[in-house]
Amino acid sequence: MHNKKNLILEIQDLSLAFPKTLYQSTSLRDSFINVLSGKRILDNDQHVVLNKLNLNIWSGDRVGILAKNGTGKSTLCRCISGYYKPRDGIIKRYGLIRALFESSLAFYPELSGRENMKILAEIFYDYKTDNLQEIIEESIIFSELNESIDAPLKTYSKGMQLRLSLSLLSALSTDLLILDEVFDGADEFFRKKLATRVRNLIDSSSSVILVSHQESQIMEICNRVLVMKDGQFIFDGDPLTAFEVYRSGETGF
Amino acid sequence: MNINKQFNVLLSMTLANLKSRYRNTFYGFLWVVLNPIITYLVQVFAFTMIFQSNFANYPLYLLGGLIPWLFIVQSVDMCTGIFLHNGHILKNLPINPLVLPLSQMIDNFINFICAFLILILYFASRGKISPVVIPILIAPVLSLFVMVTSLSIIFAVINVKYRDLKFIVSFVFTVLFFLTPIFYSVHIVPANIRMIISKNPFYFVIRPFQELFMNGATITFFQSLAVSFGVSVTLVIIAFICWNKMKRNISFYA
Repeated sequence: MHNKKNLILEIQDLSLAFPKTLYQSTSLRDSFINVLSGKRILDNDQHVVLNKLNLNIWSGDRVGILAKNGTGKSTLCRCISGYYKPRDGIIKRYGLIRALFESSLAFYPELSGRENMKILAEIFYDYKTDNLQEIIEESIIFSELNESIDAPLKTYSKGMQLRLSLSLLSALSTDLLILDEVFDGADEFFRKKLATRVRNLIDSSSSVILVSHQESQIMEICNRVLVMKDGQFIFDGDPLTAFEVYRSGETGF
Repeated sequence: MNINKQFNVLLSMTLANLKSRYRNTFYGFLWVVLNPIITYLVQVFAFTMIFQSNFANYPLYLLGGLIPWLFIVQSVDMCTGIFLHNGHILKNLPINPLVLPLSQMIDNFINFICAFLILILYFASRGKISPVVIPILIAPVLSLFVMVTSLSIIFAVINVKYRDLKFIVSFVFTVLFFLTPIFYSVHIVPANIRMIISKNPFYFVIRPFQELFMNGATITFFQSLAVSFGVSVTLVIIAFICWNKMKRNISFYA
């Protein structure tokens, strides 16, 4: 499908840290107490999430990312998507990036599922180049929410909300597709249905980043796997070796 | 994230805010617009009937202060926590964070204008407000909108770092209501305290309305209007600096 390999994403020396002051003192009350009690937190005390990270992604790449919880996988995905804007490092995007994260994203409880879907579509897709109406109609059918689609969102269960947002967000392929643990939370039947849809989405997207803890999923989809540790990639290569590195790292901790 | 797309999203979200507040019905709209009007009527009743104050044209004076004040308080209250409250949206969707407070502000502004206009037209029909005054109102209304939008953005940005700001702000505004000449005139305040009270930036923004309703488009009105714009432009600059300093961090910390 993609014979000539095109560079889609280029990351150079990406670093991200946040000052510990932000989670040790996130209220005026704490700051007030700290100042009066003479307790000082140094501003340069940093918690490093990403440390001079480099990554190139080419068309045809199906990249899996392996790392333990809390090592910055999602943070990296959000940097690539442009939702986080780190100061240090360069991120060059040579294509359209769409990212699916786990959470359900509808946000007007008083409005119907359909109205929520419309807003979501306008945010996620481009009203100029994509046919939003068509995407919405197709996603509603796929979600199987049936009549519930016109009921207020506040009457939805968590699973229904997830169906609504995931159906919509998985409607169009793209140059770089980011999937961050999207398969959890839905019921088994819908998960299978969604898996097929996402599989098609992966096949029709030029490149993919997959964050998952399920070995079978990564083995099935990815042709390149990165192992992340301490804000850097310690391995970049074939899936089998990646799992070996990942596991040896686990015992080494 | 191009400007056109974000603007389109802003419009849709404003519309969604309005719809969800009105519950999609005309009566819902009525409910929202009646709210400030009822608050206003209760205060008119309290001061003219219960306290029997002999303040000339008190309903007109109160109109100039109270309705803009309710708009200020409601907007700041709804916007201060907006980034934190919608953190999951900022973290997971391609949206400019500014769209959130702006859509909330436009929503509030439309409700404010409707309530304000209903009362103004009532007074105009009774001959208490000259119709000539109504188009002039656009200037102080614009200044008010700019001021409140800037203030809301400033608070929303700071609230990302200091998460209890929301509670402090709502407490401070309760106190400020009594320290701002809204239900009383600045002239009844003793001279030594008046010095402090008349330095209140909220008073600067409200005063043109009171001047216009009570005395018409006089020199004093235009002077108060100039001061009002001074306040709103200053706040725009502060909001701009705050935003530029924090914009990279908002979705990260929200």
